[in-house]
Amino acid sequence: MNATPRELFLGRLAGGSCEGRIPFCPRDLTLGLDAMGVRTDSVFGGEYDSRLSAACVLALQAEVGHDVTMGCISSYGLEVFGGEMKYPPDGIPYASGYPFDDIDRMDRYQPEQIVGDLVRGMRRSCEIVREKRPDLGLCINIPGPVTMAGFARRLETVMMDLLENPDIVEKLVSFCTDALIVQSEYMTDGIADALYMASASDNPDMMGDDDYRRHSLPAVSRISERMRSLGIPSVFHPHGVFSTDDRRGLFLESASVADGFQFAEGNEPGPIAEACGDSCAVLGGINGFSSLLLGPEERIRRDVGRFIDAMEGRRYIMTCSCSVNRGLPIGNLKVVADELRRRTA
Amino acid sequence: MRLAVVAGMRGSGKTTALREAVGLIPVPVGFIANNLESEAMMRSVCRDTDHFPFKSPCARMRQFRYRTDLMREKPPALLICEPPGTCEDEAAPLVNPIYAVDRDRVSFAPLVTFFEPGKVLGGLTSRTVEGLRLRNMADESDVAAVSFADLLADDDREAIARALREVNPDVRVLFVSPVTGEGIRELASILESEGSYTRPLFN
Repeated sequence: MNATPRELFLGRLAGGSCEGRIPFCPRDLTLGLDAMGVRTDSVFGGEYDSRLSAACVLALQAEVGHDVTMGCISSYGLEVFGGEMKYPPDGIPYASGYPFDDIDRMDRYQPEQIVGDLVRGMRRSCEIVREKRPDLGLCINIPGPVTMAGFARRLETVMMDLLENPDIVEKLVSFCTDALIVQSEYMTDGIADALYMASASDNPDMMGDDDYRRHSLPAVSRISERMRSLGIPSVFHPHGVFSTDDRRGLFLESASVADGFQFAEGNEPGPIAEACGDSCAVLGGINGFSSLLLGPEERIRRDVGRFIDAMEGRRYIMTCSCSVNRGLPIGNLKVVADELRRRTA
Repeated sequence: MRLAVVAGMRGSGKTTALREAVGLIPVPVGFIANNLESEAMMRSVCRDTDHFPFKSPCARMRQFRYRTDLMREKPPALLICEPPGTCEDEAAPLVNPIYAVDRDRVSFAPLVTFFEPGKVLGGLTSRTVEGLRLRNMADESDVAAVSFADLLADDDREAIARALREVNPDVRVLFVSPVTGEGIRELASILESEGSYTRPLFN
């Protein structure tokens, strides 16, 4: 009997078999809104609309045919700490007010407060997706610890803190990590197959190798260890260059703190595959901001082939180079799914 | 409006050369830098200047669109931008989303990247972080502007052009020196009107 998409995904991520086709896990954060043709603020405008969110996720999956979804239209729950998010009608949610730009405000909050209406609504969406499509893989998307710190305090400020006030970074990242653990426990409980740490600012290119080692890696390790104790594998997706010889040590350290490592655009897949071996699952793939956005179809097929060839024999799960959000042509994403099936079924 | 994105590592000589080139451009020019120092250097030759605050890599596409939209309230004929973020990042992933939605309203100049000569020779390698970045930047560019050209012998120029074309056979190699004026007029012409954004659309 053929494995379900969920089994294929978990087989690769949790260290099982690499047999069968390569699963496809585009990080579908908001693109589902385009699949249903609904406004961003229809989901986020007032109370989070879990049913509409789930319908969007499922509509996109029905159109594209990917194996793993993120279960909900995603945002970050910073409002509970006094932050402000913007939800442009046809755009992507973004932080516009930073709750801890005055670090003393952090003392007014507890990390547990992260589970507010938004997080509850996103979980409900995931529950609906799980109920309707138990055969699909389901990941919970959270930011990485320094990435969340950047949302909470403004990234420019955090980068200055790294130089001038490292103790503040320590305290802030600790708070964010505690909050992320609480959010992850709540959102994964009983429904999710994996946790996904989207970590654009947990990034050695920006922080420097030493600060990345000091702040990001231990915090990511704390989160994934906690998840592992609950039977949930984790994926770590830092941005930055990891495929070069001079970053090999840092790559191996980064790959060891979770069950899966996703590389971002700007990396060479071959050296990542070689360095990683079978020690963890490798995720990564087609550039979302060139091939996937602009096409044409031949270019997308060529690039999919390039990743399949580079990752042959590895515990590989195809993703896009970063998350997929509204505005991306859904037809181009379907080309990826189709080409992957055609070449690896 | 024409949008010209000019990339290149810190210290590659791009702002100095740009300041000379913009001085030759007869139409109003806007400039958005990714750091305050570059913005200050360009203030005297541009009608409007701005800079990109430092954001997460995932936020930079939206930031690019937002800042260029602000300039369009009173649009310059030519808007020159450094890529948001750091000078080490590839530019095409940030330009492409704007290209995808605005290509009917905005003309896109060739993507120009500045290179220090010493970093090209033997440096376009995927084995080091800096080498891989330089290699990716060469690969995505329509024009490779090689700075400090007044210090280069003919043999060096040939070797540099060869190294760049090994990575990107379509790249136009332009040697530039604000000291002698070499390449400055051509750079101005590329920014203002000559050619279009091409390589990142199929690379």
